[in-house]
Amino acid sequence: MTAVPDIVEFLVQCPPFDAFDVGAVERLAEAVEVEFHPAGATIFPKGTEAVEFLRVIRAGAVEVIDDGRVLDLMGPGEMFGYASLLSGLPTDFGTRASEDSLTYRIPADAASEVLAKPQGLRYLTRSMLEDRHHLGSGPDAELPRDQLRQPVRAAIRSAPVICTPGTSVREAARRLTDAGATALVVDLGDSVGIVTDSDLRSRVVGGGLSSDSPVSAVMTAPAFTVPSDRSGSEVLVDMLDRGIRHFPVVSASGRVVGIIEDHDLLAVERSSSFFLRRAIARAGTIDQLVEASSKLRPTVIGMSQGRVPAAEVMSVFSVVADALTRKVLDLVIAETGKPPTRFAWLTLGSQARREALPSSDLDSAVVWFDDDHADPASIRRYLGAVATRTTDVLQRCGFHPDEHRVSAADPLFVRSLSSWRRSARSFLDDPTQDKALILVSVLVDSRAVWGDETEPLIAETFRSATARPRLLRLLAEFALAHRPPTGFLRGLVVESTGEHRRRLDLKNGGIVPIVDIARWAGLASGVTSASTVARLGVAGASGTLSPFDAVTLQEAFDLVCQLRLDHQVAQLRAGVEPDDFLDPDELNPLTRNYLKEAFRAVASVQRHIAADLGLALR
Amino acid sequence: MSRPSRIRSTAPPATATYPEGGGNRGRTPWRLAHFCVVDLELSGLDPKYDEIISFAAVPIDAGRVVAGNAVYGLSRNTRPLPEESVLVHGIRTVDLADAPPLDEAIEPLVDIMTGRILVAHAAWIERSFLDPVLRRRGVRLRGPILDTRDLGHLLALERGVPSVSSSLSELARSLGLPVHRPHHALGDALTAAQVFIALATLLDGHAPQTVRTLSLARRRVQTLSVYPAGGSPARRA
Repeated sequence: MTAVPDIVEFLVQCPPFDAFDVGAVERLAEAVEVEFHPAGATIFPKGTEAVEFLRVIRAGAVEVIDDGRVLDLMGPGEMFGYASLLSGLPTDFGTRASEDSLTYRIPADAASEVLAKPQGLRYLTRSMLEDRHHLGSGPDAELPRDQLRQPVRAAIRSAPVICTPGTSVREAARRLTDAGATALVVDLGDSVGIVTDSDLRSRVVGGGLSSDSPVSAVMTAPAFTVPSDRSGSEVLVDMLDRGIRHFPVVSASGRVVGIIEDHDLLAVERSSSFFLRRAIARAGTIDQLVEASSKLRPTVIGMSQGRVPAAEVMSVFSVVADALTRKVLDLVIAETGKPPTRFAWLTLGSQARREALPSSDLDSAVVWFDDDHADPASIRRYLGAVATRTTDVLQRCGFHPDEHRVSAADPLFVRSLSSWRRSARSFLDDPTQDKALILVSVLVDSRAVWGDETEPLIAETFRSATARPRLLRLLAEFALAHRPPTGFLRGLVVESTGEHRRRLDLKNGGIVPIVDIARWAGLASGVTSASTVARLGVAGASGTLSPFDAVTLQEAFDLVCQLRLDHQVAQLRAGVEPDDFLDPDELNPLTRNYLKEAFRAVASVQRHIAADLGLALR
Repeated sequence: MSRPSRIRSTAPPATATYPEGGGNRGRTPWRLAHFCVVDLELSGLDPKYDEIISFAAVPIDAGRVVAGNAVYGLSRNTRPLPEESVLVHGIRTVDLADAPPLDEAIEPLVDIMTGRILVAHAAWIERSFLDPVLRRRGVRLRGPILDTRDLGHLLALERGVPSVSSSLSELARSLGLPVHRPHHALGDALTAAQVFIALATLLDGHAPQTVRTLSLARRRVQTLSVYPAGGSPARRA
């Protein structure tokens, strides 16, 4: 094999090959096959299988297309096909020659050898971050692109879960689940250990270790740590070299500031959400923010196409919605003036549980701290203005306020902390009062997203609910009021009238019954703010639900969420406003059966609860 | 019409060393056939006097130019190089001092040509210089060498546009293709190979192309030039 000098000379000018030594580019050039594509010819179609070749355009122009829509036009020196080639996943777009074009085709083996080097990965990650193939180009051009050149601390997604060596495996697993994390750090004084969820699975579940054992029995110690100022690309290379997927990240003072995972640095779907969050963080005006948030729905489509599980899509969506809410508040407060008091913005409902999807309403409330001796009337005026403006901007960003007006724009939901606590206590004392249960349900699912988040807020008031059997009983009744849409032997129950006739209501029929059971069961087990899956996990572990029922509900919830996501992505792609009304005939028979099974399982759990608590089922 | 050119041995022992390439029959769709694009740099254009001083060949399989398998070489001149030829290709006697003599240097070229249909730009030159070299090895070329110049004229006629000049560089540019180092055997062979796959693909869009239809390009150009209206049913108005 010999490399043709003209091909080498061309490739060394093109990123990322410009960063390689000539020897590596020569090896790449040896593998080049030159193809000609006449104008209009498909180079590879969308999404049938993974591509096996990297392609570099030598002459002409190539369109990136998705369902007939041109997303991008690439010219000489640009390459394509690498994401699919490296991930082994089907392409999420097709490519077509827009004019007569000459491309260099490089087989996967030869291409990966080069692309897997740090310079190649850096380029790829940058390209994926730009993510023009999902998001289109335009104002994005000004944004920082080189995630992997940034210090690794920039890619940390949340504070680390840290425990002591004596913490039980059960407790560790619970904290891991609650935090939505995949690894936790064990503080060993002068060093740290690490426990990943796969350690827990293999060493406890598979290895027969008791869940009462200390985490020190399952941890890896000392863990390989990385300094927080190390670049993302170096960390990624360390990961690849060592075959380790999680590294604790340590600050200059030796404190663990987070855990970095390979996904954080590489995966497309995550990257596009990083990208979006950065765009949101950088927005300096409300118009820029509205513009940045227009990328959220395409990101959801992209993640769905990338086969990201629904649970993860929902959590990414919710994380972005949180970031957006924070930024809107920053901008609105900058417009309105300095707040007369400290206050916190609460997100409620599905967004608080991190289970929001494009169809979800954005429920919100405000709590202000009345220990500042400011004038309550002027505080209400100020907060009312901020809340109205914020919900308006969020609506422009595609987040609709709650249809039942559980919204900070309603003065009823802008209150001082003592007022909220009074209401919460009164709901607890007399849950039969008007709307008490609905309000409790909403407030149990609340999370402060802006403001002083360290204060124990309203949801905490409900922790004492363990001592309030009457409230729990009513919450359980409330949970049993929504029956899944299935009869004993009949098929799926669909809407019989109205706009959604013959449609299945996935939200009220599928999601709500499970969410309500989980809220009750979680509260009965001492958990307030958490995701549905986490609540069910704790309820199963504590005995509020049988472990079997807990798992059944988790699985049913996963299935319904996945169907919801698929349905909404199809609507988004068709340019339709997403909703939760599914035509059961669109499901393949197997999925339809799974769904029926899931609904029956939920109904059966409801019967168990009713029997246990001596409640009547409607 | 004879079959397209590939190397054939005239003597039984040599036949064994040049096995027939598969799928190169006349009716084979062009993408299934195996081609070899050849370019020679010469001391002049008179086959009786001038000699090959540099050569390159680029294989084409499945309609793609397999650049990594390209062959390039120099061969030592036996006579002084005319100054005007040095001005064209830039190769001086001193550059050839260490090169092997032609019959030895040509070995890799013969290897890569074996079993492949030859393609060249202005192919009569390649033919007239390769013939005697191969003959000395007991091998001869049969049939025409596919000619990118003829194919270029044919496409212009099919499209009803005027032909560009006969030069390889002009033809490549008119197709929007890169022009590699001109008058360097490997550069020209690569340019010609890319021009060939482009022309074959584009002609294929007018009517399905086989090894045989491509080899008949010259004749078809003549027919279309004389009877432009009825020449091709697929021709654009």
